Amino acid sequence: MAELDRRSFLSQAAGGVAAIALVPSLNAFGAVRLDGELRVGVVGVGRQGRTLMGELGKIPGVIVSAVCDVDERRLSSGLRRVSGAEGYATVAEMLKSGRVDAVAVATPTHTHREVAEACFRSGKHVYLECPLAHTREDCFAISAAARDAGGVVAAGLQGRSNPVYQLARGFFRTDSVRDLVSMRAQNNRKTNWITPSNDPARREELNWRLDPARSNGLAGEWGTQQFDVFHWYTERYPVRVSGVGSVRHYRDDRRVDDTIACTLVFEDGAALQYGATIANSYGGAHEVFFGSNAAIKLAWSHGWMFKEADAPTQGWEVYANRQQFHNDEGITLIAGATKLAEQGKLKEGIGLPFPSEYYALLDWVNAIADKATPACTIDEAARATLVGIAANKAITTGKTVDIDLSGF
Amino acid sequence: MHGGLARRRFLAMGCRFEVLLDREHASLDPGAIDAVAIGIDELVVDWHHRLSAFERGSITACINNTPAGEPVAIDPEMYTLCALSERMRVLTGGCFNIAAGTMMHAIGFREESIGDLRGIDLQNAITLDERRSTITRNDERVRIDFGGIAKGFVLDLVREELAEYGIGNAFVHGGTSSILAVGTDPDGHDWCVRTGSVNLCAGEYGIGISEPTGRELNDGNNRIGHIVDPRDREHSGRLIVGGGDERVAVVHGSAAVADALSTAVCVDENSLGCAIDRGIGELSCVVRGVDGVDRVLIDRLGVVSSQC
Repeated sequence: MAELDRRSFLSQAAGGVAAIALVPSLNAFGAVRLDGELRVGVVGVGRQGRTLMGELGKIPGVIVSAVCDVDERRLSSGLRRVSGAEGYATVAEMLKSGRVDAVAVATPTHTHREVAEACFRSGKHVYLECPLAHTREDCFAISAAARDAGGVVAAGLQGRSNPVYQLARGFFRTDSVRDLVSMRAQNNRKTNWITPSNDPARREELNWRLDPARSNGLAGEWGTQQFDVFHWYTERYPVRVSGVGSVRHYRDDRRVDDTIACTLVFEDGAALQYGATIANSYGGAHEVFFGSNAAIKLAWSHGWMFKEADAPTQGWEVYANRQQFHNDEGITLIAGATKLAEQGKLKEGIGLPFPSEYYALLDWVNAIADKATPACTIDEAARATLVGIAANKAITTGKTVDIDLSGF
Repeated sequence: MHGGLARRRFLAMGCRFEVLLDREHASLDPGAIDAVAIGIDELVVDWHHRLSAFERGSITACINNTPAGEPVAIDPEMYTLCALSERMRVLTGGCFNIAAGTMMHAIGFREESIGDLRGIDLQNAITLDERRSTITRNDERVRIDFGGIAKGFVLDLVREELAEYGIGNAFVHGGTSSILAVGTDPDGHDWCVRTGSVNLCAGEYGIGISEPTGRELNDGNNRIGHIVDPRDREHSGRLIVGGGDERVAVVHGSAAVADALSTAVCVDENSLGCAIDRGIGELSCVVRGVDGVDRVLIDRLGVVSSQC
């Protein structure tokens, strides 16, 4: 994405609400540039894979033509969610079938390398979910293999293609928050990370998240997505991380923490505080940038800016939609605000109509159509994944870990 | 609260769902039972997003926003729901109809205005193509709304999940109006639901409860109920009292059928006989009239009693 320089962005903003909103609205709700059909196979149709199938089905011209899963029950459940697709038990069979032009991969993290390498070799376009891998070695291997891939390869760090996040980044990069003083993020969700099964062997396979040898823990599995938002906005990576974690709620002999907290420190001393738990859902998932002029809070389908009383007021704010949060008033960051305002639908359009997966997949499909670079490349995903792996290591060892991104 | 029950509560489909799973009489360990409850939460919320008439990204919105005459490809599960909805329309003599959403718009239950409904044929509002797995709106003004069957349909899917994991005893309800009872409660008794002065003690059934006055508008002269008569050629959206009933409860093997039929009986009690004659299967039905008296219209399942 071409970087907006501060001067041009603010000159557009100074023109009023129209100028501010028009920048992101060009692609906010997904112009599809596909000419003809794109046949997509989805590999791994657990919950995330089925979500991808549903969102792919909303993109005009995209046909989910194949579904692949080693687990027979999941495969048959996946096939019930798509019309006219063939089912395959292995990626090799699916790639050989001649039924797919592109592949979306949503298998467990530790299996990404094998699946991705096979897809890259086949020359298909590939969308790979994040985190990219569970080890540094696999990150490097996937990155190396992607360089020789014949098709367009996109990684699923979804903030980068999310219209709300793109809009807010424009504000951030043009100094709306002024001096960045701190960063905070959380992901709280009441779940238990157990996938039930009556069959012990299947249970072992399905519950990889609770196996420390195959899981990146909460910092890696969930944190990676959110850490990347800060990397993308600040265009920097943290240099070290420390953290703690423990099993606070689920007394079932699990060896992967259900609650964690960590601090990622950047070269200039700025810190990102991150917390995640599967024992409480309060606040959900969000990221916050605290600056001397304003704070920006992002919550995937929504975004807000909270201005300090002494921050200068810009013309467009007069027309902006606002929401009250206890004692704070947030200016809603809405992609396509001008158009919505003209239609009297500003309030209706406060949240994105589609989940982040839709925009990530749409960006990939458009990159295929345009033969362009997608919003998130494999190398960007590899860096974020390495940060997630380092954070998990810091939490599980109790030691401060230096983040080594050399090689990328 | 019983110690042997895994509980999960969540908001979806415009109401609060509650899931109760018996931990003690299942083959899974307690953590896995909790995971099944979480999985049910995710399943229902997923279908909420797929079916909501209010979400711009839902399949329902996609169908309603696609020009009339243009087929919309839908997945097999969604097709099953559409086909079942159409079957229920036929079985109830048109009293249940997902195209009744059109009238909800016309009356003012939705913000979007769809204009004059004269000449519209709601009994021929959609076309399904099983081979291509498509649904087509036959009139630009038609608006599909699965509100009368969605919760029951999802509860039938929940039942499949429970069976897959070997959970024999469970009770799930959405807003107390769509209910799935499986097996027994932890004490070994049939799950019992009280409606008015009677109890429905159901071992393996779905229960649908409809009340025409649950939500209503007042246009100054008339009370307009949220259950409308899709057969009404005037499309006036008059308050439906279904022969004087203020609440209808239907028990059936399928929660989706129970849900849809309870709506149809609210519209017209005669739809019950019509559905039975046309082969809807065994069921029980209790109605409460505006006089507050409960009447058992039929109890072929033997689930109605005055006490548990």
